[in-house]
Formats: sequence, structure tokens, C-alpha cells
Amino acid sequence: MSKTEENTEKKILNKKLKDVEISLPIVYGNIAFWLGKKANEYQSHKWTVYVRGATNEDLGVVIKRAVFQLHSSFNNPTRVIEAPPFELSEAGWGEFEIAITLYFHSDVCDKPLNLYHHLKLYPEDESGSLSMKKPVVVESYDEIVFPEPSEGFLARIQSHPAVNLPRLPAGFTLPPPVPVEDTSKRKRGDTKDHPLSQWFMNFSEADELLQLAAARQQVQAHIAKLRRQISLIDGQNQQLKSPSDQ
Amino acid sequence: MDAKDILGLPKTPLPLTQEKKSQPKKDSQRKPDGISREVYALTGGLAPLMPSIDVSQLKRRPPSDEKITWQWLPFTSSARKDNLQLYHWVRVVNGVPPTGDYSFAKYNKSVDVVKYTEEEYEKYLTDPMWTKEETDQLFDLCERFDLRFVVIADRFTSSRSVEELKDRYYSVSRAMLIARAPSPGDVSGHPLVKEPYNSSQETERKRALSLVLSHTKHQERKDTQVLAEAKKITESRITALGTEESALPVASNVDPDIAEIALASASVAPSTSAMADNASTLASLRMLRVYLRTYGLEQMVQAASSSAGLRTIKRVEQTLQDLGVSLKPKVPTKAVCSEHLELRKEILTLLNLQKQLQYKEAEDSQMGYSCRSEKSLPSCPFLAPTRPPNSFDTEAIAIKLKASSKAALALKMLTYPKGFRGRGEQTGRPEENMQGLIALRSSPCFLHSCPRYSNPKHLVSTPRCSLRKPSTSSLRSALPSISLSLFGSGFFLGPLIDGLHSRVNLVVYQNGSIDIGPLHTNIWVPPLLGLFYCSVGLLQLFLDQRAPSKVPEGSLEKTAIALVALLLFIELSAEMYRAGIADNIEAYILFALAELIWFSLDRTWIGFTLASIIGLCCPLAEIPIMKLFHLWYYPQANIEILGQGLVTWTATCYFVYTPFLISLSRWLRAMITPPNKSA
Repeated sequence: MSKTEENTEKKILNKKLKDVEISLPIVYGNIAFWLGKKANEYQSHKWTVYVRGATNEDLGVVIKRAVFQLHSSFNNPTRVIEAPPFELSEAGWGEFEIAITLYFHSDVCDKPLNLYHHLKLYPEDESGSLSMKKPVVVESYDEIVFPEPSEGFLARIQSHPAVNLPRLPAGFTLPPPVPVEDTSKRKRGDTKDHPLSQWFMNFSEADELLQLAAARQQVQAHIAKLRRQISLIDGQNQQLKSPSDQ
Repeated sequence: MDAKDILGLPKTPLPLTQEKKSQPKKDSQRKPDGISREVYALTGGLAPLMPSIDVSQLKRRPPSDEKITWQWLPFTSSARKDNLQLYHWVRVVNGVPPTGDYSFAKYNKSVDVVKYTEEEYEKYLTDPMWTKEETDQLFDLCERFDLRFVVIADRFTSSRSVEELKDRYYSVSRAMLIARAPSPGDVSGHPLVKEPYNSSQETERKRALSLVLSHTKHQERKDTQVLAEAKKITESRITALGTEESALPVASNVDPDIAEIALASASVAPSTSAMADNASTLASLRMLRVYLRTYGLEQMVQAASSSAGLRTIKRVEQTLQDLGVSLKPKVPTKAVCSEHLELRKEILTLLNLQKQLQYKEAEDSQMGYSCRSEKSLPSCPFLAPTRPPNSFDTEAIAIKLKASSKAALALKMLTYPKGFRGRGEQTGRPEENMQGLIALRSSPCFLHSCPRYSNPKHLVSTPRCSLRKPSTSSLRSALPSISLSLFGSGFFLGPLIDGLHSRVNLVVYQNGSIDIGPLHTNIWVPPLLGLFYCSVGLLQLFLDQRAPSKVPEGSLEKTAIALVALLLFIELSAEMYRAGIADNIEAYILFALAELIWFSLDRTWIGFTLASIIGLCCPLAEIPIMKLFHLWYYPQANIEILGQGLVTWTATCYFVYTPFLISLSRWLRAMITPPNKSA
């Protein structure tokens, strides 16, 4: 390809799209196992901190690498994970805040995104006995929003299950997806068959939506009632005022 | 002695002076020591409060053993350079004149004016503007006149301004100081070195001073106005800056170059409306190339509650918790976040409406007291139909009372206990009492006046609603007229209704019975019925006062309907009686009909209770009247109680009377409470 063609292609791919918002639902958190008999003073738990797709899809199409910043007492506290699945396993005794920095591919976003996760090793109820079998799982659901994605990005992931695309505006044509990498060469980046996948929490928005809808209905009913009451008072006041003017 | 007059003191000498036994009585006359006679006279023979100069002290200075003379001696002063000899009086002690310099010589201070040599001048002090002669002259003058530059300027040969002279002098002195100082550090503290004379500043300052001095009053006023305006403008600028700064945190996550754009957009639209906030937040979010949805939601929530105070935000969160919604959604998808945001906004609206409603209710309860005095019609449900105690009411009542001859009677009736029964049935008797005839003969014309009486002129049927109880004060003040009208209606209407029964000889009148045309009644019937109406009506109004729930309106239509129902009922009972229907059958029919009438007219339990009480008590109360006064009797009594025969279903007639009386009393109350204003 000639240089100009490459340039124009780049330009097209780099063009930002407004009104199209790409959201990437992720779940990040940690799973911690108590080591039981094998626990010693410095390593009482074995834990894994990770960032995964909410539906356990491969995040590698969007995220280039993840950097986990651990407590300074760890060796090499800055751990860089270059390939999905973006997770890190360690052994330790203490709970601390882990800063996760996500770096995206160049056509996605050039700015990294920070997440913060408090590593949890001990269960909520202190009286509960520690069990080697049942780990402590703390996960948080969130969505990464790209408000103005580039066309190239959009093209690349338009049919990828990991991302949520809103309906594209009518008459919108995307350039054909440019194959970035040979997927067969890469390892599986999804977490569907992850060894820890049995502990993954389920996040369903349906419950939340129902709850919110019910609450909204209640509030709206209250509002209507109050509005009626206020208009009643106003009406009476109006009646009062008008005869007195005569 | 005039001082005594001024002070208002007694002319006789006070006992104080007389108490002093040491002094003979003559002392009050004698001038005491130490005070001159005149002063003593001023104080009116009293010793002054403050001891004046103790003359004894004065005199006690002992003649010292020194011999003091005063001599006219010459002296010189060191302050003078010319050895001028002058003479003055000198106090000579024991022949030794005082030594020492002239006592005032120490006040001869002078300024240390810098003195420079020729070489020093050449080295440090040359100046293009000044010749050496001028400088010398300046310094000479300075020394002579102790740096009084105004004088110096006056005396200066070439016309130089005071600032120029000062400038030259100070710069020369400064230069000399610095030149002569062993090291610069030594003189750096000297004020002349630290702050050299600035002649331009001085000129400017003096010019400004003279300007201010020459300001006219008008200009001064203008100046103050301009300053006030400037202050306002600066203050508004500060508040504008404040709002800009609050918009800054939104953009703080963004790159610095983007932050400027966000700031510009925020400052362009400093409105506080939620929509503008939302729009600006959206804009700022879009500026971010990537963000977390929870972060975005936070920003939107902040923007939405930017107009609300901290307390409101807490209340919103409390409401969310009460509704069972978590403050931060567990699954923040796009839909969930937007729903959450909408819910928060709706809660905010709800809280605002609640506040508005509270406010309005508070306003109304205040308005209620003042509003009624302007109104002649009770048209507002939320206002208590209070009757402010103004003179119109009492006048109207007084007029009515005076005009009516039954006033005294009505008042007497009022004092009767409420349990006093009223009349329902009358027995007709051919006996007539001529006294009552005259009164009742005029009853037809009274009949016409009756409606006029009980229906005041202001018969405007406006929607009357009384969701609030009438306050007791209003009721009390309306009480006389309400009871009067009730009594009046009972007086006139009652016998007529009763006539329906006496016509069919259900009840036959004995003592005091009279016949007015077809009407067979008794002279006691009108007052007793009036009493009956009055007491039931007042009882009902009293119950209305105390009722916890809403009291229905008193309307003419209802009263009329109730009256018609009553009349029909009584007529029906009379006809059934005349037709000879068996008493028990008639009783069943009438009982059922009575319930039906209650149900259609009243439908309240308290009305039912009242009607039942009346229905039971009134026939029983007829018994003493029948027994003791023999005013009437029932020919076909079907029950005997306490030795008197009664007709059982008369109770139903009383029962049906009650809804009518209830409506009548309510209507009268509603009518009477306002019209007195416009009366």
C-alpha cells in the first residue's frame, strides 16, 4: 500500500464517532483461599485479583494490558499482565488496596483507566470459621464507557460478544473489520473455563431494574398525590381571591 | 446664700456644723481658716467637699534658715553665639547666685545637616541638574532654616520646587552617608538608605491631595456612588468565580487542555438549572476518552443534586434506603444507571413538593384568620369559618334580639338542659285558649315571615364546604342567632307538621288546645316544638364541633329534601293510621322506612345514634307532660309506659325528624355565620 493510502486509512480508522457509545462490561475483584494448615505468618491466604468480562468473554480485544499495583511489601509491587486473562495470583496475609490500571489498544483509547479494589481475605462475619474449601469472593461490576469511539475500534469489535454496542444510527456503514491479530495464535483470553469460574458471581441487571422501577412508581404516585393536594389549595386560594376582588 | 437657694438646701445651718463641740457656736459665723471669706460665703456657710488649700500648710512653710534675696543679674546663654549679655531676676540663696547655663538653652536643637568637602562633591555629588553653588546655597539654607523646605524654597534664589530641593538634599545626604560609611551594611538600616526620596511620587501625592481638597460636594457624592458600584461589581465577579470553581472538579479528571474547554463551557452557562448541569456534565464526560460508568453516574448524580443542599441530599439517600434501593447500583449497566438517576431526580421533586405543600398549608392557616374578615361567603374549605370578633356581629345579633319579642324566651330556652325533649306529636283538642288564638291567628302571616326570618337575605347558595370544623368561638358568637332561628322554625313549622298527625286524631289535645282553621293544636305546642328543634339542632352542632372527621356541608337542598322526607313520612304514618292499619304492621313499615330515610339522608353512625336517642327519649319525655299537664293524649295507644299510653311508632317519627333537624341546624349555622358580616 502506498503511504497516502495508509494515511487515509488511518484517518478513517481514527475518525471519532459521536452518538455512538461503546460500553464494555467488566467485573473485577478477588478470590482468596485460606491456606489452612499450610498457612504461616506471612502467607495465610492465597488470593487472585483479576479483571474479567462480565460474561466471561475475552477482554483482549479492548484491553492491551493491565497493571496491578500491589502493596509495597511485595516484591515487584508493579505487576504487568500483558495478555488476557488479566489476573494475578499471590499469597499473603494482609488486606490492602490494589490499583489496577488498564491500558487499551491504540485505536481504542490512549489514556489508561484506573480501578481500585480493596483486597479482601477474611469473610465479613468475623465469627465465621475460616474454611479452606470456601473462598472469600469480592467482585464489583462496572462498565467501561467509550463515548466517542474511533471507527476502527468500532469496526474491529462490532460483532465481538465482549462489548455492548448500542444500535448504530441509520445509514451507518462501517468499514470492513481489519483483522488485528491471528486469533488462533493467541491463547484463549476468555474466562469461561477458568478454574475459578465456579466462584464467579452473577450480576443480573433485571433484578435491579425491577427494584428501581418499583421504587420509581411509588415515588411517582406520591408526587401525583402531592401535586393534587397543592393544586387543590391553590384552587381554593384562587376562589378566595376572586370574590374578594368584586 | 443664693447657692443654697440653687441647691435647694434649708437656710438654717446644718447640724453638721453644730455638732462640732470643739468649735463654739459662733464658728458658723466666723470664717474658718484656710478658706477665704468670699469662697465661704459662696458655699453658704458650709465647709466645701474638697478641702481647699490648707492655709495652715501654706503658712507652715517654715521660714528657712536660708536667706533668699532676689537680684537683678546678667546672664548669657550657650545657645547664642554672640555672647549677648542680658539681665534678669535671679533668686539668690545666701548670697550665692545660681550657676549653670541658662535654663532654656537646652531647647536650642538644630538639625545635623550634612557637610561635604569639595573633593567629596566632585566625587559623589555632581548632578547635571544642580550646580555646586546652588547645592551649597541649598545646604546653607537648610542649615539656617532647619530643613524647613517651604521657607527654603521661598528663599532660594532660582525658583525650584520644594520637591526638587528636597530631592537634591536627600540624595546628597544619602550619597554622603553611603560614601562615608565604612561598609554598606552599616548604613543599610538607615531610613534614608532604605527608602530614598521619590520626588515624582511626592509631586503626585501632593497633586492628589490638592485635588481631593478641591472636591466639591457634588463630586464627593459621585465618587461614593462609583465606589459602591465598583464594590458590587467586584462582589458579583467573586460569586461568578465561585460558581466556576465549583464546576472545576467535574473537569478535574480531564487533561489540562480539555479542562480549559470544560471550564469555558461551565463559565459560559453558569445557570443552576438541572438541565444545564446535566448537559455540562454530559459534555465533560464525553470529553473523557474513557470512563467508568460508576464514575459517570456519580458525576450525573452530583450534577442533579447541585441545587440541593447537603440536608436534602441526605434525605434523598434516606428515601432511597427506605425504598430498598442501594445508593450505588450493584449492576451499573446503562439502563440501570439511567433509571437510578431518574429515581433520584424524582425523589428530589417529591421532597420539593412536600416542602411546597407544607409551606402552603402554613400560609393557609395563617391566612385563615385574616382572610375571613374580608369575605362575606364561606367558600373556602381550608379556612375555618372563624368569626373575628368585630362589632358588626354583635350589632346584628342585638338588632335581631331586640326586634324579636321571643328573644327572652329563646334565651331562657338556651339555658334549659339539652336533654329536654322536644315535641313530635300533638293531640288535637277542641278546647281553645283565647290567649293563644290571637298569637296563632297571626301565624299565617308569621308563616310568611318565618321563612324570611329563618332564611336571611343573603340566600346565595354558594358551594359551601366546611372541611374544617367551625371554631368554637365562631359557634359561640353565632349561637344566639342559630338557636333563635331554630326555635323560630320549630315554633312555626313544628305545629304545622304536627298538624298532620293531629288531623287524623292520632294525638288529641287537652289543656290549652286550640283550633286554627283546620289546624288542631295546642298553645304549648309551638314553644315546645321550638325548644325541640333548638335543642336537637344545637346538640348536633356541638357534636359537629367535636367530630374527629369531616363534617358534611349544610346546604339548603339537603334541608329541603330532609323536610320533604319528613313530611311524607309523617303524612304516610297519618294515612296509615287513619286507614286503620294494624299498629304492629304500621310500626314495622315505619321502622323500615325510617331506616331507609336515615340511610339516604344521613348515613353516619353518629346521626343514627342521635336519631335513635331522640326516637327513644322524646316519646318517654312526653310522658310527664301528658301525665302532669294533660296537654294531650293518644287515643289509640298501643303501649303503656309508666301509666301512660303511647304509640310505639311515634319513635320512628322522631327518628326521621332527626336528619331534618341535623340538616337544618347545619344549614342555619352555615348561613348565619357569614351573613352577619354583610348585615
